[in-house]
Amino acid sequence: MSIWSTVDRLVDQATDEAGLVDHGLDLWAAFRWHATGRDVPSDFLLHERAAAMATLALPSQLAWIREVLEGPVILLKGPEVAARYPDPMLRPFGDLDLLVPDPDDAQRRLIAAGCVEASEAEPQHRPGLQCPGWLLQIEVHERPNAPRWTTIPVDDLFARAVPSALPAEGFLTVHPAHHAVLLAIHSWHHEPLRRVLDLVDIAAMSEGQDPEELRAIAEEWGVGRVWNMTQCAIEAVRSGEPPRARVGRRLGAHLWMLRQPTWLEVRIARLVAVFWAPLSLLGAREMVKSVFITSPATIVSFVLRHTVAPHVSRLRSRPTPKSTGRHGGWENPQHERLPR
Amino acid sequence: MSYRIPEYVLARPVHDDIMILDSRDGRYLGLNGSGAIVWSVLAAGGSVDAAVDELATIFDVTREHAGSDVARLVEELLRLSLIVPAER
Repeated sequence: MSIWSTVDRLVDQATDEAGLVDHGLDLWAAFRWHATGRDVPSDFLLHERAAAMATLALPSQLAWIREVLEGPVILLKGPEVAARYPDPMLRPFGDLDLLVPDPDDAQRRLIAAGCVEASEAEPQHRPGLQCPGWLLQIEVHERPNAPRWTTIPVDDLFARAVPSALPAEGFLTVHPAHHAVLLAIHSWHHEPLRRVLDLVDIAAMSEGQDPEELRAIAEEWGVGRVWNMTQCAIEAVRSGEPPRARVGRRLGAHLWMLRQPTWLEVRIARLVAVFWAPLSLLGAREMVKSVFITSPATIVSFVLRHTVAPHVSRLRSRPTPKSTGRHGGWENPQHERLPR
Repeated sequence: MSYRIPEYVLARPVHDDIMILDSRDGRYLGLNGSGAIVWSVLAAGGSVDAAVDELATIFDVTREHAGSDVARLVEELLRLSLIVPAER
C-alpha cells in the first residue's frame, strides 16, 4: 500500500480533530474532507489558507535569497519534503532551513539585506531570521539538526547534493537517501516516535531508494537502531497493524490511534531510546538527560493540555507560518457571499 | 470591459476560495466562493459582464445584485493592482 493511501485511511478513520493537528495531518484531512463532503473545522480552513500562502510565496522568496547569498545553498526538510507530496500544500511548513558552507557569511549577507533576528540560535543553526516582506522565517545551518553523538559528515552532504525539487533556480538539496535518514534523526531528536507526519515524510523521501543503502547510511551515521525502529513504525502505520512486540505496541499507540502521547508514554519512549543510541558516554548522557530533565513550564503545559482543555490548547498551539511586515494579515475586499 | 492578471500576481485555489499573493510586496488576500468565481472568469480573460452572468446563474440572484457585487470587487482588485485593464 502506498504511503498516500495510508494517509487517506488514517484521515478517514480519524475521530479526533486535535489528534490530526498533533500529527500534522490536518491539511491532508481538510483536502480530503472537502472532496468527500465532510465538514472541515474552521481551524483547518485557516491552516489551509496559511499553507496556500506559504506555497505561493515560496518561489519568490527563494529567488530573493538566491540573489542575496553566494555559493552553494542546500535546502533541508519542510518545503523540499512537501515537493514530494501529491500537492505541496498538503504538507505544512513554516520556515526555510538553509545548509551552507559558510553560515556566518550567509547570516551576515541576509542581515545586510534587511533580515532581522527573530528567534534564538541553536547548536546547529544561527539565530532565525525574519526578512522584510517575506513570509517564511530563515534558519542558516552549519549542520543538520541532530544529536551530538551522531556522525553526519556534512562534506558528504554537499558532495552528493542534487538540484532542489522546488521551483527555484540555483538551489540544492541533500540526496534523497541522505534526506530520509536526516528526517528520521531530526524527528527522533525532537521526540522518539513523535508524530505520523514525520513517518510519512521519511517514507516519501525513501521512495525509490535502495533500503540497504539507507540502512548503511544510518549505520555509518551512528543511528542504525533509530532507523530500524523508524522503519518498524512506518510499516506498522502502513499496515494498520500495531507491532506484535509489546514494547513497540505500547510506544507507538499514539501513532496508530492518532492522538497525543501521554506523559508516561513520552518518558518510556525516551527511556527506551537510551538503548537505541550508540553506547558512547556522550550519547547516553544526552539521552538520559532528555528522559529525566523537564522544565517546570513543560510540566505545567502538559498537565493543562491533558486535564483542563486538551482539545482547545492543542488546536491553538498548532504553528502556522510566521508572518510580519507586509505579510501582516488577511485583506478581505468588501464583498459578501451572495445568497443561494 | 476585460482585465488581466499581472505577472506579479500569484493565485491558488483552496477548495471554494482563492488565495492571491502580490509577489512585489508580499500582500495577500483571500477571496471567498463568490469572489473566487469572479476572479476565475476574469483570469480566464472573460469580461465583467461574463462574471456577472456567472454569478447570477450560480447564486440565483438578480443580475443587478450580482452586477453591484462584481463592480465592488473589481474596484477593490484594481485599487490593489491585482488586476489591470486588458490591452485591446
